[in-house]
Amino acid sequence: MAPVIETRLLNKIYRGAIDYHALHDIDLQVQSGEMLALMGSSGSGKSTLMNILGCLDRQSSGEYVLAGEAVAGLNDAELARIRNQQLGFVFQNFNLLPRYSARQNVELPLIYAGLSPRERHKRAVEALEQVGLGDRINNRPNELSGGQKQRVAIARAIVNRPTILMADEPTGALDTRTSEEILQVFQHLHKAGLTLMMVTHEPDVAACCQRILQMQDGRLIDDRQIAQRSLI
Amino acid sequence: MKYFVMAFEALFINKLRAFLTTLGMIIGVFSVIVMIGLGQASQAYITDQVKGLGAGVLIITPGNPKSQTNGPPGVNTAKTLVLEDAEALERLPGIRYVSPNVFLQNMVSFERNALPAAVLGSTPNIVEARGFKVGQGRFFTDQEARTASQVIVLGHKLAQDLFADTLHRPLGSRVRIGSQRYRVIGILQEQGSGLFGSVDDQAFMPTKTFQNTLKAGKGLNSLFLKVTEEDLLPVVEARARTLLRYRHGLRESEEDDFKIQTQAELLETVSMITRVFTFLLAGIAAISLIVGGIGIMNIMLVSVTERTREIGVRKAVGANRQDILMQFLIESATISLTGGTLGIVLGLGITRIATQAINLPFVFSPLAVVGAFAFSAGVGIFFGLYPANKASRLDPVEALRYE
Repeated sequence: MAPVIETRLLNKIYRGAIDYHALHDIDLQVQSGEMLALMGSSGSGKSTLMNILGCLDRQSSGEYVLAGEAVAGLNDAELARIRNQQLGFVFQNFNLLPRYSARQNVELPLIYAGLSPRERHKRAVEALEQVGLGDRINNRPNELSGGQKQRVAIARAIVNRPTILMADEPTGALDTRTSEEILQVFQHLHKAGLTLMMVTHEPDVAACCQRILQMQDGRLIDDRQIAQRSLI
Repeated sequence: MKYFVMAFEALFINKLRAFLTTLGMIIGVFSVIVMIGLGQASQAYITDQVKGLGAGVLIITPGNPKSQTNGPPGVNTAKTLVLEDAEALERLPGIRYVSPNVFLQNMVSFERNALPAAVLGSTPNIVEARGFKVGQGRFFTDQEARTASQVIVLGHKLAQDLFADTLHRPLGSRVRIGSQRYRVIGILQEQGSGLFGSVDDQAFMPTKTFQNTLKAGKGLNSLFLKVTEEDLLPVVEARARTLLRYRHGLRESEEDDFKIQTQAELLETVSMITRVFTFLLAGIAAISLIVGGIGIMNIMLVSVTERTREIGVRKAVGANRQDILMQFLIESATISLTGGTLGIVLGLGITRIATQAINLPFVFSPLAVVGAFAFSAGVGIFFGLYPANKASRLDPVEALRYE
C-alpha cells in the first residue's frame, strides 16, 4: 500500500538578509494507520516540517506526495482543498473561534467543504460525541476547560474525516492529567484507524506513539519504532 | 449564502461598532436623498408656477441677454423698459393684457412696526397671471391703476406682522412707505414661497402709483404679455420685438436691449437652474457618502487585524482566498447596504415631512432611490475590497502565530 506521506529531499530555506536553512533534505514516509511523534529541541525545524506536511507552508525544494497527490505544484485554492479534505489540525493553543459555540467551531471545516447546514449539524454533533463532549455542544470556548477546548479542536480536526491528523504540541498548554485524557482520545482515534502525527518535546507524550522521529538543526537524525505506552 | 450568514454573525458580535459604521452610511445616503428630494420638490413647484402663467405668455425683461450674466428674473439692473412701452404694447392686436411689473425692496411700516418688504408695482391682471387668491378685501382695479391711487394689497405674513400688537385691523388702515401713505384694500391668502420670492412677504400696488410715489425711476423689471390665442405667440413676439426696437431707437446693427422669452423658454431656464442647484446639493451630500465609505474601510481594516487568528484558523481548516475575500467583502457590503436602505427610508420620510411643512409638492424619484442604493453598494464593495483582499492574502502560518 502506498504511504500516506512521502517526501524526498525536502528543503526549506527562509530568504532574508541571511538565508536560514530550516529543513535539510528530509526523506520521510508515513504509512496509513501509523501514530508518530516528531521530536526535537526548539529551532530544530519540527514545526516547519509539520507546517509543510500540513500544506500550511510550502517547501523551497524537494518532493512531497500526500495521499497520492504531489503537493509541490498546487496553487493556493488547491492547497486549501487538501487542508479541508485530507488534513486535520490540532494546535497547542486550541485556536477555537471565541464567539462560536463548540458545535459551530466543529462545523467550520464542513462549511468550506460545502455541506448543507443540516448535514453539518449532524456530523459536528457526531464528532463531538466521539471526543466525549456530546453534552457540551452549545457551550462557547470560554465556558470550557482547557481539556474540553482541546477536545473541541480535535472534533474539528476529525469532522471532515481526514486522511491524517496533525497535532502541534497538543498537550503543551495542559496539565499532566488533562494531557493523558487528550492522549487517550488520540489513541482511541488511532485504534479506529486514523493516522496521527504529533509534534512534541515531551518524552512522556511521545511514548504514547508507535514511532518517534528526532530532528536536529533541520535534519532527521533518528527514526525508530517503539513499544507504545497504551493509555486505553 | 453561507457568506451572508457569516457576515451577519460577525456584525452581530460587534453590535455597537457595526451600528456606528452603518450610521456613517445612513447619514450619507440620507443627505443625498433629502437634497435630491428637496431639489426636485422645489423644481416641481417652480415649474408649476411658471406653467401657471399659461401657455400664451411672453415674458419681457430689460437688458441685453448676451451682455449680461444670467440670474433669476426680476433682478436685472438695466432699466430699458418703461411703462410707456407697456402701454404701446397693449395697443398691438392679439394681446389680451400686458402686466408691467416694477419691484423694490422697501421698509413698510404701520405705527411702530416697520418691516422690510418687496414692494411690487403691477396691474390687476397679475392676479390672473400669477394665480393669486385674495383673502380679505379686494385687489386694486383698473380704474385705480390708471389713476395711480395710493392703495396697497399686502401679502398674508406681511399683513400679520405689520399689524401685530396694534389695535387696528389691516383693511382700511394706512401703511407707510417712506413718506407716503397707502390704504390697505386687500390681503392675499397664504401662498408659500415661489419663483418670485415669497408672496406672503410682498406688497402690491399699481405700477403708476409705484412710479409716482416711490421715485424708483421709470424702468420696469418685467412685462408679462398674454396673447388672446396661443397660435399668435410667434407673430406677437415678432411684432413686440419690432415695436420695442422702434421705441428704443435701435439701429439695424444694434442688439436688442431687452429679452423676450416664452413661457416654455422660461421654464427651460428655471428648470435648468434648479437642476444645477439640485445636483450641486446632492454632490455636496455625496461627499458624506464617501466619508461613510472610508469609515467602513477603516473599521474593516481594524477588523482584519483583530481577526487575523480567525482568518488563520479558517484557512487551516480549508478556506481558500476567495472564501476569505467574499466573507469580508460581504461584511462591508452588508454594512453599506443596511445603511443605504435605512438612509433611503429615513431620507424619504424626512423629505416628505419637510416638503409638507413648507408647502412644496413631494416628488418621489425612483431613480434617486435606485441610484443611492447602487451607490451605497458600490461604496461598500469599493472600500471593502482593500481590507478583504488584505485578509485573503494572509499567510496561514503567520496568521495562526499572530497574537
